[in-house]
Amino acid sequence: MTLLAPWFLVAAALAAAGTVLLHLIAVQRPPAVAFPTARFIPDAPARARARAPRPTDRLLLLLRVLALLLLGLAFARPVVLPERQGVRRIVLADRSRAVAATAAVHDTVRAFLAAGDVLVPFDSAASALAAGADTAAALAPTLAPGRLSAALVAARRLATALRDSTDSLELVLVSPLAAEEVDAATLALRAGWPGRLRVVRVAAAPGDSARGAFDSRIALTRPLGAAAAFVPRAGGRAPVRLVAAAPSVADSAFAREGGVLVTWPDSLPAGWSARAAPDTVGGVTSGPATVVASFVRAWRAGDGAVLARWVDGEPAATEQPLGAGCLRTVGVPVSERGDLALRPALHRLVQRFAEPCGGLADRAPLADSAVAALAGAGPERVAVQRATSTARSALAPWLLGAALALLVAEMLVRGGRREER
Amino acid sequence: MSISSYGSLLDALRGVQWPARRPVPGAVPGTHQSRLRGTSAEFTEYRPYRQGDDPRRLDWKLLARSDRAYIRLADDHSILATLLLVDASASMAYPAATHEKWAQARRLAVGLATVAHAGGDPVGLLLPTAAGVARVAPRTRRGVVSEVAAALDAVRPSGSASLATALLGLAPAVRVAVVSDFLGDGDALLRVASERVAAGGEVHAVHVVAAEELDPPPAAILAVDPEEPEVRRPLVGAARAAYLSAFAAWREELARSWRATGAGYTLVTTTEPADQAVRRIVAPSALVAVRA
Repeated sequence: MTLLAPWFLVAAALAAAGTVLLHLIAVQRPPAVAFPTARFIPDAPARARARAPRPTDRLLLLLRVLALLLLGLAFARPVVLPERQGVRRIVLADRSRAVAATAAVHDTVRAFLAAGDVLVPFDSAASALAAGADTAAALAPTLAPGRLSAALVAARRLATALRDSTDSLELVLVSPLAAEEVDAATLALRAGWPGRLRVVRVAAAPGDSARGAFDSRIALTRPLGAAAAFVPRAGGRAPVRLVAAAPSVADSAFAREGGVLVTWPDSLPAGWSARAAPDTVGGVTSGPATVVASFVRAWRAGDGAVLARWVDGEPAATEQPLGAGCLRTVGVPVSERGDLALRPALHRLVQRFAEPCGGLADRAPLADSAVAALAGAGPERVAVQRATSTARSALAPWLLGAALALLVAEMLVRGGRREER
Repeated sequence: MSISSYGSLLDALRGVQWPARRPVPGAVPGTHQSRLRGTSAEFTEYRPYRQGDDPRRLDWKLLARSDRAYIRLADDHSILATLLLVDASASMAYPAATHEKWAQARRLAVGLATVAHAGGDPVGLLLPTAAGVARVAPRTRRGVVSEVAAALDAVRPSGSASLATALLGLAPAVRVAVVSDFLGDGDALLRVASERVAAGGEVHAVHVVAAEELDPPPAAILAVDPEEPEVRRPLVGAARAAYLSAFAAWREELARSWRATGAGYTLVTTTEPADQAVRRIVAPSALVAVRA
């Protein structure tokens, strides 16, 4: 049993002691005694402060003292805190596109994980793996870029959640530590961890920092085909194919072999759904590319990572992995009317969709100094204090109820005494 | 209780006399100097015979020797009836546990009766109570003191009764000793006593005060006047000093008022031995200061 706010109990004990003193120096009506010369006593209210050798009205005193102590105990919030584990590890495991070999990450994680430790797989997002979950599945590679900031935020949240169940925490980071995984908030978030990170670096996947060969299968007579003609050819590894119809078998094979297949259909794409009533929206954005125009929106996007969004936040283009490559589905209609196809903004949007799967990647390894800064200094094990301020005491409401009941009883007894007098 | 319970008191008062403060008008032979000049053997002086004097009082031997007619005068002595007026109101039943105030009043009354009876005076008792006035008529016979004691013992002080009314109807030639705490009809009693003294009577005020009234117990109490229950006042803290001061001032004023009328006034506390108090009451000095 632990008191979360013991000062309340101390204050209640002091108040109870004061109550006992008040019962010893009670303002009360002294006993009536026949006194023939009473007329010579000054006329005053027939209540006087009398010092009693023993506490007066012991039943009332008992009720008051008990009520005060129960109130103090209720506000002191007694709780039964769980047993704490000595050391627990939080293992941040990278599963982003920057990882060259997932098996290496998996082996490293297994080497660190013990009973009670927590695995946090991360790419652009991070969340703790539930106990008993399949570790291999959780570490399956994704096309999303890695974000160390997301992993550090998840680690800090997890540390908060674990502070009642462990005495100290260790933080392990398993990642290729590519440059694309660090953002402006990473070091600031790292500074919020009081100890040293144990950093385990794994091999990074080779990244494309440029678009591959762009192959538009859309006729130049169509607005989209004309816009695609403005996309410059680049020297990236992954070839890009732009089609306006549903992907053919050859297109799928192209993607499976590592190509980027962009489908920009005129009709409802597979996996997408039609709106009950088409509406209009004023623009679409994807990364640095933003097109402001009046679009007729007839579909709702299906599953996949969001590549572009309408100005109201609804997905406008998605990306799904397909074999070694990926399949991108774009639901942005390009009208034949107007000059939209000729605008540079639309050209940048098309270029954005022509980027390698997962986007352009900067897989350059972090410098040793940056890694050292990321690892930080201090003890690997960080002592954790219990979260007493937010703990809830199940006993407190009952104690409060008992105290209130005693106070009601005290009022009744006091009323009875008054009537007797 | 009976007279035997007062044995030690009666023994202690053996030989004590209670002389009248002034010549008494009575003609029945007694121990007090009478206003009348009589024919007793105690010669006082000669006075020339005047027409109308009783020839039997002529000193014939002096007439024969000197041929002058003189009347032989002698002081006469008479008795003085003594009546004890004892207050039996509720205020005398204090302290509640012992009624020591009433007990002291009874001892004083019996003691005074004994002293007066020993001087050959008729002794009686007047005991106004809420139920009526208990009387023992003044008598000189043996056993009258026992009757007085029995009458006192038969009464439990309660209620309130007017002492002034009881005193009002008495003959002026009777010596009255008022044994009371004077918390009842004190002013009326003083007025009647004053008239009585002015008419040549003799009145003694015996003021009985309980030790607990002079020095109340330190414990806080709600003091209730037994004769006026609506008077309920807390005796605690600063009220105690104020009470002591007011009570002392009242006692001084009471003594001064009684003595100013020519009556005797004696304050007796419950802790004072009764025989000693009786000696103070009957001592001639009790009235000397007043006359001075």
